[in-house]
Amino acid sequence: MHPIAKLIREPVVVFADDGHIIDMNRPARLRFGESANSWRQLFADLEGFQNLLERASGTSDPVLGALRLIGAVPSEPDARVEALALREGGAIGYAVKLRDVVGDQFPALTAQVRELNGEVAVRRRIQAELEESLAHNKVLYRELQHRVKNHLQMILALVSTAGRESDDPGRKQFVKMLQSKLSALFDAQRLMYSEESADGLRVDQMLSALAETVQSLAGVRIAIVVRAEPVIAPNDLAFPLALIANELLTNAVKYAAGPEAAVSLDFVRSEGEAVLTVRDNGPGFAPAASGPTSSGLGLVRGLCRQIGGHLAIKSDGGAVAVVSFPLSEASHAAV
Amino acid sequence: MPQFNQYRFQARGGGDGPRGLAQGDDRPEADFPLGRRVLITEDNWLVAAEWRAALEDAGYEVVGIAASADEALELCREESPDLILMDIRLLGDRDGIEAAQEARSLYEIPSVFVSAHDDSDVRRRAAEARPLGWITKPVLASRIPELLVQLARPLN
Repeated sequence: MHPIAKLIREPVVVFADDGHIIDMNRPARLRFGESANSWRQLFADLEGFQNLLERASGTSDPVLGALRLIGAVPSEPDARVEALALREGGAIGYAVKLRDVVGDQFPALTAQVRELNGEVAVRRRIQAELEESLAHNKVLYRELQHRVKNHLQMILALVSTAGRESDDPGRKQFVKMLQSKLSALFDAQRLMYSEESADGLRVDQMLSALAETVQSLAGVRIAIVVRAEPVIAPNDLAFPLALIANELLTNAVKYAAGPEAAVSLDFVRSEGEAVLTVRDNGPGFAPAASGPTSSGLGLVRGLCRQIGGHLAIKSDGGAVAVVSFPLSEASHAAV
Repeated sequence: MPQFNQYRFQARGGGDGPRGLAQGDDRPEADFPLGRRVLITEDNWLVAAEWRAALEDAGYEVVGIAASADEALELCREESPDLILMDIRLLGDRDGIEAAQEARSLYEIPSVFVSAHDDSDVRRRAAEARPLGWITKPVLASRIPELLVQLARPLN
């Protein structure tokens, strides 16, 4: 190579007419390796390479172009090059210079950057795939929720129809009991999977929803006051707690007495324990009510055991039912 | 002091009242703050029949049941209901949000959405139809009349 090439800091490669490498300056040798002997070891794009040389052959000035380098990652742009035709006697060769590549003084570093670029590209692709998959799953999840709610609606409709089509008061009463229990479960289900409650359900919201349903089904004038701390309970507790509260409220509404009939539900949580208290102003619990034959209280007791809790009943200006069960401190809602 | 959220409810009587009262019975207008003539738009026949029974029990007049947006708009034109109970997913190409928007703009008839959809995206889109409110499925049919009264209160 002409000594003047030593002044050039970018890689310069001299090609013969057929694409063989005749000579390289030092930066080019560092960049492409001493043994490179053909355009194939440098560029990935034959057509572009031929086109560049053809344009250079038509002029005595350098021509500009862009060529894909071998081993370039997808995110990497084509290398900008300059080609100059070299005429000696009848023979023609070409000097091709990589622009913007200041020789490779740090080949190890460059290799590492190249590797990192490759890794970034792979991660970007994975990220895009994950995002797409997440969006797809969100759609599926919503669709599933939608279907579940519609199916629950169908169940309620079927049960209501069964009640409406009968004149038998006993059957109507049975249907109401069933509606009340199903509504309690469905309220819990709705709140468990609402957008706001990813980690559990808001007990206060569930209890107020239950109270509304119980009161509506009772169909009598009665006040229910719900005072509940905004506590988040784990989803495992949702169904048993909903059924317990529904049972106690239904019972209280049934026995609350007189024109001043009143029922209250309190829910507090302290020191790892939650306490649900349902109170009415009726005649109080009869001694027999604590026996095993009382199905409503039997259900409450069984579910209390399931959640590791305890039911206490007493008479104090009416019936008072107190359910206490363990509930960790971490479950207080951010309000 | 623990923080309480307090709720107080006062039940209205009449849950066991006589059914199927004819129009023009002696129920006070206050029981129908959103109007008395209702169109049900719901593509599930069983559920629609329940809505109808519950509303008629409460003294409403149900002017019809539509299963698609087209049917709903036709019934709006023919019957001029006071209110539409509108499901969102319907038979046909158009959904309940589009039907509610058209019912508003063509006939000035408002809707209450009764839907299993309650995610924020759908609610945002539905807001353009300026609904009077939202009832989330599953809901006991017998509660719909009282929920309509609640929706009519200024606080809601």
